[in-house]
Amino acid sequence: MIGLVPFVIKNLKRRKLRSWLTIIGVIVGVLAIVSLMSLAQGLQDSITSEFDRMGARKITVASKFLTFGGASESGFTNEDVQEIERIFDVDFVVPAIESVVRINYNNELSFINITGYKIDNLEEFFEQEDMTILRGACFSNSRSRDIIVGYDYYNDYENLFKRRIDVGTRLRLGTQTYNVVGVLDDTGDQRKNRRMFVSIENIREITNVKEEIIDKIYVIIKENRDIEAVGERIDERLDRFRGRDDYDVNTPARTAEQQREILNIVSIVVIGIASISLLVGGVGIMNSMYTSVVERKKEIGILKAIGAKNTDILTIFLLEAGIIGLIGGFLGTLGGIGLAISVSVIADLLGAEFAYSINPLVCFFGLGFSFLVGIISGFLPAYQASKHEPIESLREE
Amino acid sequence: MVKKKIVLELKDVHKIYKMGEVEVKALRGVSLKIYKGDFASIMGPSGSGKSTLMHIIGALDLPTNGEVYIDKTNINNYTENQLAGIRGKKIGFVFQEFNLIQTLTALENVRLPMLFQEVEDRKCHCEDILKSVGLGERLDHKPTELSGGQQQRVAIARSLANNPDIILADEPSGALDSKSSKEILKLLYTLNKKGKTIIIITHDKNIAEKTKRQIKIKDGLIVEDKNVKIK
Repeated sequence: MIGLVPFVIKNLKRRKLRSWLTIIGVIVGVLAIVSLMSLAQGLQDSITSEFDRMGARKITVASKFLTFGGASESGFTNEDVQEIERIFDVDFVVPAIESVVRINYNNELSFINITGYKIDNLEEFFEQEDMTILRGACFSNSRSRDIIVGYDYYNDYENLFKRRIDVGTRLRLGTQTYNVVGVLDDTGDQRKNRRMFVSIENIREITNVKEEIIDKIYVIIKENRDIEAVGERIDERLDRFRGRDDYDVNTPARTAEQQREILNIVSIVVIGIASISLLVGGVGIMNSMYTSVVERKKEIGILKAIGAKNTDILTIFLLEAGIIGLIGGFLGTLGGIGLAISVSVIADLLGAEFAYSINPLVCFFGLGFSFLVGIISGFLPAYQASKHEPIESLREE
Repeated sequence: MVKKKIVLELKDVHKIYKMGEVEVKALRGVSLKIYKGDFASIMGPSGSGKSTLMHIIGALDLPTNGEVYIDKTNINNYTENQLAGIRGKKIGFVFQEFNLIQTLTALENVRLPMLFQEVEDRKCHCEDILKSVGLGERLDHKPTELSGGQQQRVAIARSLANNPDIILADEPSGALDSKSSKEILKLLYTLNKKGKTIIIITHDKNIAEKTKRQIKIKDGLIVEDKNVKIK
């Protein structure tokens, strides 16, 4: 079989234009699949590294029915917080409320994402969250109208306000004026970099939220504890205490797993759609091979007359189809990697994060699958060629 | 008297083609023995059955009735793949239209039968064959770069690649001018003098008269089979 490869390559070179047009169909399909798989893998890796960054000590207890812009009626109370605090493995708890509020800065009106935390243990909580104060300091008490801003308000402010926000800047939130006491360092997470932080008492004032209601409870467990087991205990305790299942207990692993599951489903759907283009490429190979078989009927007769068996003819045409697939797969894989890198670079320039990951297995998959598509697509035409009667074939002009 | 080896034998061979409801009897009971070293021609007019006879001799087809022996092996029940093996090892074909593979060089064309029989590709062997037919300087030329006579020489060289028992030439000079035609016949004669068994299928009396054994076929039967002395 190896001895037939040079003969097969010469046959492909003989009809260069047609071969290349057929190969393009395969390139497009493989390029789409490889680029999407690389980007999907990159996103998976981001989730994993974010999960690693999140640390192994934080559990988030959140209401299932949180409405955008404020706590819902089924939020948490201080009693819920106390129930969680009673669990032995819990180190401390940080209740929080998240909202979107209107801000007036330097006569510019906008809306910002804001979180209000109970400030007890807040510095330790920030440490867990990889949030460090770059400039200024953390809150000193919960009643004074102090605010901490994310990194982008200080560093990347052109996209947000015309002027930089720094320690000492005064911002108008709702009807009150707040004083910036601290600026956070870059967390690597745009959601944190573009958020502002106040005490939970202040956010209640800004958003007119009832005193008892809390959106989320961040639970920091003691070191070297089994976070999944503690998560289970919180779930059981709250279930007994509240009597209703209107909340989620999310450990980093669960959160990451949920995100991965969603990403997997989306990836499968998108890659499945991309595979259709590879299928079209395969049909192109089949069409090209059928034409070739018809055109080369006499040649098949000659080859049989000089001793080629049916299996030799089958092998020749299968190899031709397979090589078309392989070349298309190789170029498509290169193109797919290039596209994934380009998407990531362009996203980065636009300020978004879109990671890619070049996995050798994906490359081998791109090559192997395209070769297989070639072989499968070429099988029927090759079989037809092998069954040509030599006498009849030799009579062709 | 030395008993000659029989390289090909046909015993009462019939070939019937069915064209719808009509039966065409192309061969009606042909018996023939070809001996090693024969330089034979099979001559007949159009429709005489000579092409059918050539197909059966060349293991391109099997008879409807009768037996075919190539090198004492009965091939009547051979599969297509087995027949291909016979064609590759025992028979060397030379066609009227040369039938070289256009994408391959002269040397690559000659090597092709060896490739299909998985015979070790000894480069020198094929080069030597091409040199023996006078094309030592044309090894890397493609068919489009060769004259008709040269292409037919390549075809003859290809037919010799696996050292077959029989060279079967179908109107080998049919597509050539008279000068090239003479050269090709001379080449075949030379190969016969070296011990090759040659069978030429032809309608041309002038060609047939240059062979040592002249077989005539008419209406599906052999009507004459004579040995002659030629100069």
